[in-house]
Amino acid sequence: MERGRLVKIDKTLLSKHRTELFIIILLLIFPLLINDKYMLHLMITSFVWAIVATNWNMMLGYSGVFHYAQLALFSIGAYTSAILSLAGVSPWIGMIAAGFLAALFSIALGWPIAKVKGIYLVLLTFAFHFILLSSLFHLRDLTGGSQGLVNVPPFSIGTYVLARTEKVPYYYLAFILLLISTFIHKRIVDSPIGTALQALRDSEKYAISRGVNPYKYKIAMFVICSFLTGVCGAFYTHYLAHVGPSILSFENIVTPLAAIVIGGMGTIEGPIIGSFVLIFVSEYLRGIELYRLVIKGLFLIIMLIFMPTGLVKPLRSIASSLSKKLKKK
Amino acid sequence: MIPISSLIVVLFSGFIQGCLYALMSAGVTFQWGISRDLNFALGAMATWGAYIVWSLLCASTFKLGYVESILVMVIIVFLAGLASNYLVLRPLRHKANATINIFVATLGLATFLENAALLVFGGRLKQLPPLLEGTVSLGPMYVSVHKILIACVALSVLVVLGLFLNKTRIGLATRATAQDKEAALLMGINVERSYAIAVGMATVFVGLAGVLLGSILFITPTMGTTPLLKAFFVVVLGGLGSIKGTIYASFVIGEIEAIAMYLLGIFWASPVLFSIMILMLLVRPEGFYGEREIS
Repeated sequence: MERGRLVKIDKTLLSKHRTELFIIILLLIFPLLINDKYMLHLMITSFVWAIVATNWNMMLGYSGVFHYAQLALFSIGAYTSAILSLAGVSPWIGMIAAGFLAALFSIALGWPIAKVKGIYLVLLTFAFHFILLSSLFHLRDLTGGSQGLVNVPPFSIGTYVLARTEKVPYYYLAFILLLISTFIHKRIVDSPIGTALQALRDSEKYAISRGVNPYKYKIAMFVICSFLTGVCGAFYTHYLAHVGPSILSFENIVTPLAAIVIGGMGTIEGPIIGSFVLIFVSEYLRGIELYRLVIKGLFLIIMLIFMPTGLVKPLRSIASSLSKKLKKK
Repeated sequence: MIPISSLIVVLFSGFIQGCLYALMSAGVTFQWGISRDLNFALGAMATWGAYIVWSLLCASTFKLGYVESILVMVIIVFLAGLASNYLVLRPLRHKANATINIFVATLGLATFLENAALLVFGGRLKQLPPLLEGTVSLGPMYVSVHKILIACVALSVLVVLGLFLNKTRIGLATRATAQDKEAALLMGINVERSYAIAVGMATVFVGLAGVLLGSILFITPTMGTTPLLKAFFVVVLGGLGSIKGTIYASFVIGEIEAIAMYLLGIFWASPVLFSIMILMLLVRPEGFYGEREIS
């Protein structure tokens, strides 16, 4: 009896998450199918931007907290790990430290969340972004000024150094980071915290009147997302071996934002899909480099007006109709 | 401390900065006060204002005078503001998640405008000639006529704004919309028109600020970002949506920045302003003159 029940639960789990499992397996065997370094590089870049975009989306779309500091937190992670590893610390420890420092900054930034209305947080974080940018230029001894930090050491396991020319280990590392981040998001969204956040987003006054503490959950979410963003930033530096002030460029702000909008704001899978679409499409547009950002900006507006739910909705309906057809067979 | 003669110079430069900030942040706060959208594209609009005047004034084909080119610029930029209202902001304003969608859409618009400017005009630094040549002595210091003229232009534009809001029917309708949208609708005020006017006028203000900045500093595709950032400091201090508070705060911010630059160096001016911003947000989030919203 007991045993039958367990099997039943497992089966429902499988059928519920069939699409997700399929995609995970596909991504796991992807390097075996296509061992093209350029392709793998694009995949790694997409993973990184997917992490940045999903963590931002958790604040923008899920918690209804608008902030501009996502790239600032990303770069704090990147610089922390780069500085530490250039001083001889292992990149793995640097990565964790990067996450903690980004989380620390987010606490400092999130502190006013408790006091101010949403729109002021945008102003505050916008200012933070640009002050960080000018500090990166100014604090030359620490950050390398406009040149940034070069020759950031790669990851290593024991004495075995994961060379950057071998894309496969970095592919799996980025993939694992994305999986962990998405898993955490999924757990939060399904938990009472997620419900509380959604209630706050949809009707703050009502949620407060039902006893939801508006600040506690938002700040907790902000700190978690910042930690993951910082770790991702650290990974990106060690992958590229270089970090400079261009990390805070306008293009880098627009990329995850466009990924969120293209994929679908307030969903877990949307920004991931959006980043993949965006990275591959803008790689395709490489020939017309100058027009790229113009197109991105225009595309962002058009998507927001004509397709505010993003690509997720049509994709979901396609996936569900496909699985229905499979069931019939 | 500061010797008295340099103090006067510092205070004067702070005053000039304050005039420019007042124009810029009047745009930001005016639009927020009426249509409740925080427009990130205003920085790029300032850039375009400067570029339009530059191409009318200095590029070979037109060679208009200063006054004519500024008038043409005001018309073009006003139309651009209306276009941005009808094409981008209006479709988003009444849907779900309007605030965030407008935040993202105006960032997209800013990206579009900045890079369009880069495509059209190139990245090379350009500069507008001074409005008037020459200097006059004001007490212990020599001041260029150009800077005095900048202050005059900025202040007179603000006075015109005040007259518009208090004396004309459209201005009164706009203020009524800002105070209570539903009541304004019931009184037969065309709220959508008020929104359009707000966006258009905000764009004109920042366009003028861009021109004045372009005659002091250089014109580049990204020149609008820093003034927009300063405008954000100003509106936090003065109270988002309050024009009076914003104008006072611009001069306070201008003076604080000038003094901080003199005492600590150019890099530290922004961090000082940032600390003031955080302090303000913690102590009095609605600013000096902002309305305290009951939540």
